[in-house]
Amino acid sequence: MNNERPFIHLFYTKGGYYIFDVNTNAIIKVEKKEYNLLEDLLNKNTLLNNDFIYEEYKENAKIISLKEKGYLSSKKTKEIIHPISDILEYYLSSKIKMIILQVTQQCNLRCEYCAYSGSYINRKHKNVRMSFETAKKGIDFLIDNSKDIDEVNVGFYGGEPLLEFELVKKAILYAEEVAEGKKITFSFTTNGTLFTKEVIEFLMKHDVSITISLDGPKEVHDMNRKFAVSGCGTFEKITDNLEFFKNNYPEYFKKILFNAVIDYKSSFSCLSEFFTSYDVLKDSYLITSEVSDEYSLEQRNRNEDYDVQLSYEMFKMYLAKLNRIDNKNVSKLVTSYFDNLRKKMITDRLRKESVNDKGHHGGPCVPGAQRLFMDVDGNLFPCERVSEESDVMRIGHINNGFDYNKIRNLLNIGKITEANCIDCWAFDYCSLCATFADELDELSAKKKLSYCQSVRYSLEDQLKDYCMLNEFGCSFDDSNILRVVEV
Amino acid sequence: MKTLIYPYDLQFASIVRHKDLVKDLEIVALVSPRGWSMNGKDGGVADNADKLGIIVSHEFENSLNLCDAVLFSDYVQKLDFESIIFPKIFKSIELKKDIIITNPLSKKNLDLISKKCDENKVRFEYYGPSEVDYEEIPDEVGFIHDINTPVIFVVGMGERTNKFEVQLSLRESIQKIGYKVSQIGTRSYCELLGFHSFPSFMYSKKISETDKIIYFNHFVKDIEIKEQPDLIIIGIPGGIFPINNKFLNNFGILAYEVSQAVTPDSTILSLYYGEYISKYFTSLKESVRYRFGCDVNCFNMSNVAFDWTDAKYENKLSYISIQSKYIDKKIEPYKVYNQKVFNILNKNGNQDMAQYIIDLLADFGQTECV
Repeated sequence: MNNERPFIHLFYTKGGYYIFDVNTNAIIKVEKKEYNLLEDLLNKNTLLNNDFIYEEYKENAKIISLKEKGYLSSKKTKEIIHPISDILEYYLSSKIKMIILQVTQQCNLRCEYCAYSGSYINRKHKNVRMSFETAKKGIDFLIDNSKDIDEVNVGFYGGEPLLEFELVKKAILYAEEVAEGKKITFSFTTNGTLFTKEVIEFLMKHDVSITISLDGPKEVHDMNRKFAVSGCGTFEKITDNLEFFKNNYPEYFKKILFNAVIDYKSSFSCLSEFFTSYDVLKDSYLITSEVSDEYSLEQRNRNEDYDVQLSYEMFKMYLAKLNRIDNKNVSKLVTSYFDNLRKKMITDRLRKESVNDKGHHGGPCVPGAQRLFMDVDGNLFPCERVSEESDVMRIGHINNGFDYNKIRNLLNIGKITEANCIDCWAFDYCSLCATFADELDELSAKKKLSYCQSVRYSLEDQLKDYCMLNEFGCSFDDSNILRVVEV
Repeated sequence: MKTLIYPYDLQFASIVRHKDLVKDLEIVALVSPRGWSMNGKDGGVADNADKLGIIVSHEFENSLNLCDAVLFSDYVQKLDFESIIFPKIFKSIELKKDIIITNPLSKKNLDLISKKCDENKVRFEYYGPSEVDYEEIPDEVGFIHDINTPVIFVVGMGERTNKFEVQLSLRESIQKIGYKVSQIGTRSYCELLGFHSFPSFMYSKKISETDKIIYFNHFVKDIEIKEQPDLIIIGIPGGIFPINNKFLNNFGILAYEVSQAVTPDSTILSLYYGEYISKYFTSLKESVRYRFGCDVNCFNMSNVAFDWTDAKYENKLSYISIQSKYIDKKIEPYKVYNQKVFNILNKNGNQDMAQYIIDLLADFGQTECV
């Protein structure tokens, strides 16, 4: 009888009761009566009454109608295996999109939350640099293994990559030469303290995409981002550089992406005010990220005031989407949320007949294909966000190529929690990759499972937000409609 | 004529693989841009199949002394024509190499190259799509002929499903058995290989869809009358269905129009690589039957997978190339589904498919309708 339970998740909003049908990806609005019936059926605590509930379930006309339309199936995936697993070697020999070169492990800053600051299980800042020979091998590796990709990217990372500007220059010129016939782009993450005329002009000439870390107003930014030698805050130096950059290279400046690492100790309204009103950044792209918890040695507690202010800004953003207030009153820090919601609920939520017999939960990318990271010594990692101390994440070396067994294990991370994953209603929407199971020398099911609850909470929030916005008449439809004018 | 191919990639690999079909050219050199990462490797690397016996180079100018002619081929990768190919065409002309171009050219570039070739007295052959001179079909001749010769369609689920390889392999294998084959291929330069290109009028925006169907039928009838073949193979460009709401495959319109013009006796459907359940094959057969009115008799499993994840996130068609030998292993289980699934890039697969089609047509031939 348990097998007959529909594979669904139930949720409700102020305006309605809903089923998320896992097999079809459909979100179905139902009456309270059917909702309660389904809730009872799914509730394991009502086992004693199961026969009675099941009879009612079988005879309910609306339920029967839904089943006839293909909903409420109890089918579940039988085996966790990533669809690329079988052809992994082919994938990684033709589809590497990017290599990130760690040109140095040194930095001129000592940021409190930096992954290399000592607060994380990771390497520490060291005066070690990449040789040009190693950089060349990395670039050759990218070109040799990207036959099915039209456009590849070489990223530069540190430490602070501008400490090795001469190496970066040589690497860019070399990459342009060997990539003939393929579009090659470059990207760069910098703390923004080392820009000079020469640096900017070179980067501009080669159309390098720049990401600059700027956390907020002086008191917020300087709280974490300090010079290594003096211990002084870096805000003034960066803003001077930005003003020079914008005044002298205004078109190139428009392309800069700013990354604000949000520390919950700060005031949300203060951050929001800064990014909305600071004149230099007025027309710039801004992304936000939270101080990372993965590999962190200390437990970070959320700041309640911050969360309250964030929720209020989200509420304002929703009102703007419902045309109740002007968009100019919405904080820049929350505008991306709606686009993400739309993408997840409309663009990516493809309808299907049922779950596949074999498959893998959402989350893992193909390790090494999206953002292959090479450290100063030529060790290869799936991306720059994993710990360089981790043996399970070290997926090869530039001299010997990939270790496919390790990569296959990372790709099929769902295998270590197979039974839980098969039963999980958030299977397709899971965001957990192997990083969340990384115990440096092994992949831990226990560690991975500790994140599952928050993934499900977050997805449920998104489902509710989407349905609530629909109830209030929000249009998620793309307004880009082609029309033929009849004359 | 000793010929160099540039920029060589998987688009031209089938032609090099069946170079005996190219009567007037001897392919002696394959050159591709350095960033396509084929330098120093056998040309078979382009389509991940058996070796071709010619090593790819990225040294264009140094390779020019090996050849009398340069064939500037079409290609699947993205390459800037003006900055990369154009200077090489001019360099080749200056060095008195004959020029053959299969890559579509703008009118301006075509005129420019023609003029330069005339000035330097080198031969120039252009095989890109041509303009069509069209007259609307009057009602009284708006009919279609019966085609009395057996017809085979080669269709695919989309681009890059090895359709051209299927067409060339079938041609070679069936001709070897001794049959006279007439053929219309999916590309604009099939005359180079001794058969007909897919006619340009089928792409015209000036001709009505109804007229295209009638013209195509008459085009095939004309071939049938003039060539008196035992068999007609028609390759249909593009895919037969939209892949999803984003990747539309031109809605399979060409396939629909050709299927209205000519009813095939047999259809070969080329698939993207994948692990398919039995129901997939039967559903596909049904869809083809209802949409195009023809039966799929066998499948080719291409050595290219459609990359759904990448396509979704990058919002463009995306593929994964796979070694052809791997496909041999993967099509074995389909035998239990009672489906004929071949790997055209395998020599046996190629011969088996040809033999299967011949047997099938022979079987149809047992029933003589007059």
